[in-house]
Amino acid sequence: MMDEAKKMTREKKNGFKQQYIKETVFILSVLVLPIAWWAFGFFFVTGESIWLAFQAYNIDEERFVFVGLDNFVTVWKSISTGGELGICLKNSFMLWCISTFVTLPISLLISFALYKNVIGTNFYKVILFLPQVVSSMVWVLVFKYLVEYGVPEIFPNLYGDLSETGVALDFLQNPKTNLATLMFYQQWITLAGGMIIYTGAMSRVPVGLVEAGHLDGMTNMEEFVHITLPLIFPTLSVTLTTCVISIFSATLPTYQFYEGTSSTPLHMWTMGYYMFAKVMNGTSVDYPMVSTVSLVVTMIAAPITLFTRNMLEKYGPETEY
Amino acid sequence: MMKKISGIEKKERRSVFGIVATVLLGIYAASLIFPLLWAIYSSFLGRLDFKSDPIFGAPAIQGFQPSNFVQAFKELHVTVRTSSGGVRLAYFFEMVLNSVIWSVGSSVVAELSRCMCAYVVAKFRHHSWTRLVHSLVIILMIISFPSNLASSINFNKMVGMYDNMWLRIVGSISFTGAHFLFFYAAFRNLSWEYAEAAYMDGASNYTVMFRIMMPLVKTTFFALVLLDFITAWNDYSTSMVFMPSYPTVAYGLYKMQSLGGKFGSSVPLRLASCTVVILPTLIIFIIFKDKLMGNLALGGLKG
Repeated sequence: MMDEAKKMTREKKNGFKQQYIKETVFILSVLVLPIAWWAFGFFFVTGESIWLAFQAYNIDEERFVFVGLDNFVTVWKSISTGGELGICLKNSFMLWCISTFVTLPISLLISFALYKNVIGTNFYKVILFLPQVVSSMVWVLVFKYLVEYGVPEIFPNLYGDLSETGVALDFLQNPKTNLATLMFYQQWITLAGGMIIYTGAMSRVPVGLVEAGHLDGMTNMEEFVHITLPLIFPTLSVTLTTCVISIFSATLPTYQFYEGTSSTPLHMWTMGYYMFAKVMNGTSVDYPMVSTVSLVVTMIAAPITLFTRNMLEKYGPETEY
Repeated sequence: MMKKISGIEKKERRSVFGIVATVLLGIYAASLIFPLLWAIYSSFLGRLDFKSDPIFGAPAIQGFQPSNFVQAFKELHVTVRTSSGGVRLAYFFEMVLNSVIWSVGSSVVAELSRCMCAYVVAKFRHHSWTRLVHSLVIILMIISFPSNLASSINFNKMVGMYDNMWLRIVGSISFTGAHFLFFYAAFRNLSWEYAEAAYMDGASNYTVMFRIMMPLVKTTFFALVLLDFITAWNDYSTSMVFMPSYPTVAYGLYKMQSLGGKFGSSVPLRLASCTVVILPTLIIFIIFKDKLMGNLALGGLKG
């Protein structure tokens, strides 16, 4: 009797072991290729980026040579003296501030209005999704032609009046207005960007809770602040955390508007534009500086991101529903 | 079927918030529709009619010009370098073909691999390293690592993916990003009972994954593939940076800005090209809008 019980236990154990091995083989067969592929690319690209940050191209020797921290010093000088990189950093930070503190709250309010099923919600949902459906190149070109040909048709003297020299330059050509125009364009086109995610999260807020609040005389804005925002906080924290990553690398569609030409006015450059345009328009001589900038941006953004995430977890509302 | 509106919703619609929100949304929606309608209308105009009245002007001089679309098909081109060092012209049809192959291939490969990985991570959590993979996905989302375009180009050259669309499609295999978390959330919400019943009938792990569990998340899969497709169709930079010999229509539009000749002097012709490019994604969106805009669940970032 005892032997049989032991035998059964052993068989059971063997069965579990076999099942575990089978599962392990299955899991490995699914995960190994994507992870290995990612790891290969990740370590090569990250490794080379770090390596290049300490190199410079020696034209006489026609090869990269180790230059220690020289590139970092150059980057620091350019930032601290308000040079090329200082302008890029300032523009990126300004763009990030507008996106986070202006566009994101408006985007949340748009989603809340759609969640509250205002008149025409279904129609608005379709139209507001258009910026994601239609090619960004098409939006850029249509916006560009509207600014160039449409605005003077409606306001014939506007461009001449805005110009200091008297030569009529459109919003995208006039140095006084082109950066603001591009910033406006970027916010206008991304305003409803998180609509699906946010309305999805809001639709899972318990109806009973909202109805109870309204019976107690709660207004829609109070519902938004005291019920909706805390309950969609897990989703919102994803957006906020990923937003912080782009704090110093936020970019405008400058390359699309100005066809990536080197004549793009410097006061419109952002960090993202700098890193893209230097590689696309430059040569391998420019690679070390681009790598250094990317390393510096990461070194600044990474701790801020982690800090933000910890703060959001620590002080953000606890939501269980 | 029309959704019934409850009494509370009716009351809310008539509230100050409801009216103000409707008006503001209306203004924003109009600001999005107006440029597109303007572009489509203007693409039918002749060059002279457009010049005399660019904002919805009547086609008084040349009449409507549907031939703009034929010209856009015939004449929109980009210059491509050949492997022998020469140059050739790639026309619209080739760009559309490249766009279709790239958009379909890369989106299916990327989402299929993410879906499979998310299934394994979500349903085999008793294997500790699947939890590690989940944490890795989250870490990669919240920490940026130094990388730059130059090194990415070098990597692509090293593995033979540079200027090779087919290898790039295979290289789209992935397990990272927010889309992984969408699949993960979808699988976590699925009952394991379906799988248990199949295991009792002798099904293997692969059968359970491909024939039982993955069909249950097909709505999520379809929505994410469509989103990826639209992104890839609209992306001009991949073709420009990594596959210069495989120009896509979005890249064609980008290069159109610097084209001379008829394209250089005729805005309606350029807008006709834009209209042709937006049609496929617009049609897909109109057909599948309910699937695309369905609720995609995404949890927090607590790893």
